[in-house]
Formats: sequence, structure tokens, C-alpha cells
Amino acid sequence: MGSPLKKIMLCSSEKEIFSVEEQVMVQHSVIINNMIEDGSYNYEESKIPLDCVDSKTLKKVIDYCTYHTHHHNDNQEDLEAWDAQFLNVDSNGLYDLLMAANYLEIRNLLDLIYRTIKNMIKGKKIDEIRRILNIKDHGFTPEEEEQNRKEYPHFY
Amino acid sequence: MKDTIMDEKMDQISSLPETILHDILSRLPKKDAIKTSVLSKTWREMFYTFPILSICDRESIRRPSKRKKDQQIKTFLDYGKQRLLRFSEQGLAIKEFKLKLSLTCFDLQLIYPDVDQWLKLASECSVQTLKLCLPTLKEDDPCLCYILHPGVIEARSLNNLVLKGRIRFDKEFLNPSVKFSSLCVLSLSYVLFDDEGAIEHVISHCPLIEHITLKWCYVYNPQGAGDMQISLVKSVSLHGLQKLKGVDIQGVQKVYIDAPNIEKIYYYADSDEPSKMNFDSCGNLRALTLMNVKNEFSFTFTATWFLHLSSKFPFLESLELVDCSMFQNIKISSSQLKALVLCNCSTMEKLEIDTPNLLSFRYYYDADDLPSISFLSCSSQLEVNVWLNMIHPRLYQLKKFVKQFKNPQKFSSLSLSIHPCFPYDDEYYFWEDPYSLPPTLSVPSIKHLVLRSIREVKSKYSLLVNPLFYSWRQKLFH
Repeated sequence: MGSPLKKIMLCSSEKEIFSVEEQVMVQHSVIINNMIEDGSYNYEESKIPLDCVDSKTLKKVIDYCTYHTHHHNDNQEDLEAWDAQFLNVDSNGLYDLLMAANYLEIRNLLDLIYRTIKNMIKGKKIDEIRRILNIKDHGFTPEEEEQNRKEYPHFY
Repeated sequence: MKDTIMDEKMDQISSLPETILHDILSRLPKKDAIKTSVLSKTWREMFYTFPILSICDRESIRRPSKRKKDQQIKTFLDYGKQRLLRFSEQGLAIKEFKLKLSLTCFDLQLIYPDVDQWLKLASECSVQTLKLCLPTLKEDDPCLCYILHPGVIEARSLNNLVLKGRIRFDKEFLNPSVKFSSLCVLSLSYVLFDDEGAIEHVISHCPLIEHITLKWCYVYNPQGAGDMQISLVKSVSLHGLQKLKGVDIQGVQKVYIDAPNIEKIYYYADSDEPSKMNFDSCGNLRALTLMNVKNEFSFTFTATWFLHLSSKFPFLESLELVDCSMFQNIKISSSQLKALVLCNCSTMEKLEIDTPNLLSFRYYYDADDLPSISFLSCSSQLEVNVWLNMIHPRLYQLKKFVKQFKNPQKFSSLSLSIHPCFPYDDEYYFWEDPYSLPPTLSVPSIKHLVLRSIREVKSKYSLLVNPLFYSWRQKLFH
């Protein structure tokens, strides 16, 4: 585990540098934890390049990790409320966060996003899900779509 | 402006890597997972390559009208075949294949050849978990079983095999060349074997087996008349399975287990037959659950057996006795036992607990005669949970019962739930006068007390509970 005061540098796809408490990232990201543990991170010079994470998303990921590091003793309801507010983004914002959480292997953030997507689908009608997930072109021919409706009338 | 940018990036969720989408699918309830297959072409593709494949006839065959049913069965068979062919044609692996059939026996036997084909396809796709669930066997028609051939499920990759219902093991399984070389979990419920030894033979060819479940398995006896053609497997003996961690055996009369590393044994006795168990050499046992073991039939679980519990099983941490009536007086003495559950052990009169490290004691009982329970030694962290279901709240008896949990013990928590039986029956609205209680009820030293009651009889209960609280109040609120 890193010491609380040590900082590490993360570099977004736009080459913007973010300085974060080491402990915050080590606790949440399996990838960063591994880098620190195997000594491949040099505190003097290195920054961790995250080429597939843009600044906006990286900032959010850091916010998430920081909040959950410092508030892990809060009661469950408060944390859930904060999480819900945190994930109040459009489906593309959710996509970016999911890709980043997947890349950095932040398990609890991944779980949170999976739960959110699950709630977008669970118990909803097809048209509504298509709207939520921004599916403009479903790619079915009119005949196939007709067939689907016939086969699963209760989904529509 | 923003809208146009959004439009360009539309539907990104659908373009997520397949592994992530499969992760999402695996968390969805089945109905919602199927729903994703009609969201869009992308989602449909993803659904069809999802390696956890679950097929159930209930979804396709809904209406039982004769003419429609045949058509629906055909559609269902086509659907199942298509789903499986998709994997085998594209060379994709199937992680789990679950097939649940609830058709009537007559329709069912007509589709057995399709089941053969599907299982074969799944095996070819390196299936790891195979679950086949058919309707329960009836004693009068054993010949309508699905006969499972070793060739159908022979898969080196298979590590979890769950079979339930009218499935009969073919004689070929007795062939020594049939091996389940990577099987870790085997669960057989209500299945049929051709002879008594077949089950042991199958298990002995699973060198890596870790968990075995055998529930109400039958042996076929063609000479038997009428409903005697099948009978419950009478004895099972498991020898030297090095990796075996846990067993769940139900309805087998004689059980012998000799597995050096087994940690968990769950045994449910068939109450009509005398049960005989021997697992004394399982020195590594951590958890033992015995259910439905009756006094007159138990050759194994005597008071002496319990007395020697801790020398036989030095690592035993959890003991559960449910619906067992094999003793009146019992002493449980163990320095490492952490959890003890007693549920409806109706013949018990006196229980002595000598377990200095016990953390949890749960006691459930739904009759009137409460036993005497004494703790000869106990930990300060012990949580006691008592759930009583009394027809007449016999307060005097309750008082005596609660008093048992008295000094010198200090539990970290004592939770007492009293539920009246049948609150709607007039007879049980007859209550003894709660005010006839003695003015002071001695209080056990407890740190925490919960009293629960059912809402319907709340008014009556407050009459009952208030005096209890009143006399305990002073000490409770210290």
C-alpha cells in the first residue's frame, strides 16, 4: 500500500497531467496497484499514460476513487446517493467511464456501471431501451422486426 | 450543435467489447437477457454468442392446445438447434449449457433424440457446466426416462454436471474407460441408475471431484411389480476422494464417507428407513448438518457420539440439527465450535452446551415443551437467537426458559422472537391472563433484546409483552 502523501501522475489521451494521491489509485485500480507493487513506477520521472482515457473521463474516475477512499465509512445510503449523482451522465458518458474503469480495472466502479446499465434494460419496453441506449438504427429489416414483434409481443 | 455531436457518437454502448457486453448480459435476469436479442442486430449477435446458454421449453411452448402445441414444439426444437449450431459452426466455446424441459412425459420422449443432439453439440463446444433438468420421476413409468449415454456428455472440459429428474444412466457408464477427468461438481437429483453400485462407479471416475450432491436417487428394478420398479438408492460409500470438499446427501439410507479433506457434510435422512452413517474418519470436517434423523431409527447419532464430537472432528466449527429427534439429553462439548443451530428437535429435554468459543446459537422450536438449556461455558461474543412458535404463550414456561440464559453468561446479544401459531383460529385467541404474572421476572444479563410479534395479534401481544418489559426495564436501560 502506498503512503497517503505520495502522489502519482496520470496522463490523459490529451496529454493532460493529473496528480493524484497514490493511495487513492492503488486502493481502487488493480492495474495501478500492480505497477506500484512491481516497482515499474518511478516517482521522480514517470507518469502513467492512459491513451484511451480522455481528460474529462479521467477527472471523473479520479473523483470517484478519491471520494470512495475518503468516505468509505459513510453510511450506505449516502454513498448510494453520491454514486447515483456521479453516474447522472448520458449513455456516451457512461460508455467512456465503463471503458476507463475496465482499462484501469476499478472493480467497484465497474460494478456500479453494470448495475446502472442493468437498470436501463430491466423491466422496460424495447422502444424505451432503444431510446435510453440511443439505438437509432436497430439494423433489422422490416420483416425481421415484424417477426420479433410476433415472437415476443410482451417486450413491445 | 451538441446534438449533432451526440448523433455521430450514437449507440456507443452497443459497440462495447464483447466481453463487457457479455458481462452485462450475465447480470441481467433471464427475461431481460432475451429481450436484448431484439434490441438491435448488434445486441442480437452478442446475445447469440453469449457463452451462457439457457434453453427452456416453457418460453416457447405456452398454450397446450393440441394442434398448436405440435407446431410450438417444432419451433422450440428448431430454436434450440439453431442456438447450439451457432456456437459449433463458429467454433465458439460454451461456458454453460442449461436445458430445462417441463413437457409431459409423452411429448418429452419424442424429443429425446434432439436432446441427445444438443448435448453432443454442447460437448463439442467444450462446455464446462452442463445442467439438464427434466420433470421428476414417477414411480410407475421408469421406462420414459431420458437415457443418458456417456458419448453424449463426454467432454474433457466438463467441470460441473447437474442432472435432475427423469434421467437414467446408461449401462455404458460402467465401462472403465468412461472418465470425467476434470469434473469438480456433480449434482444428481431424482435420477435413475440401473444398479446400486453404478453411482459409486461414476463417482470413482471423477478424480478431481470436490462437491457431490445426491438427492433422492433411484435404482431400477425391472422385476419389481407395479410401483416397485424403482426404489431409492440404499447405500452410498465414498472412498478416498482426495479433493472432496463437501457432500449433500438426501434420502440414502446408508452412507459411508472416507474423504481426508472433506469439510462439509449435509445429510437428510429418509424418515421411513433406519439411517446409518459413518464418516468418523473425516477428521477435517468443518460443518455438519443433520436433518430428519429420527430417534427410533438412528444407529449412529447417539448421545455418546455427540460426547465424542470434538475428539473425532477437532476442526468442526458449525453444527446444525434440524428436525432431529434422536436424543432426550445431549451434551455438546467442543472448544472450536463457532455456530450451533437447533431446529425443531422435539424430543430434546435437556441440552448442555460447553463451547467456550461459540459465537452464534440459534434455536427454533414450534411446540410448547421447552427444553432446559444450559451453557456450561460461553464466550462474551455469543449471539443467541431464539425463535419460538407457541400456541399458548405460556409465560411461566417462557420465564423459566429465558432464565436459563442467566448469569454468569453475558451474551453480546439475545434475540427472542415469539410467534403465535395460527393467529386466525379462534381457539388460539384464548390467552392466559397476562396480569397473573409474578411481579418480578428475573432478568438474564443481556446486552441487547429483541421481541418480535405478528402485527395481527399486536393488541393481545402488548398485553403479554408489556409486563415482561416492565419488569425487565430497569435492568435493560442501565
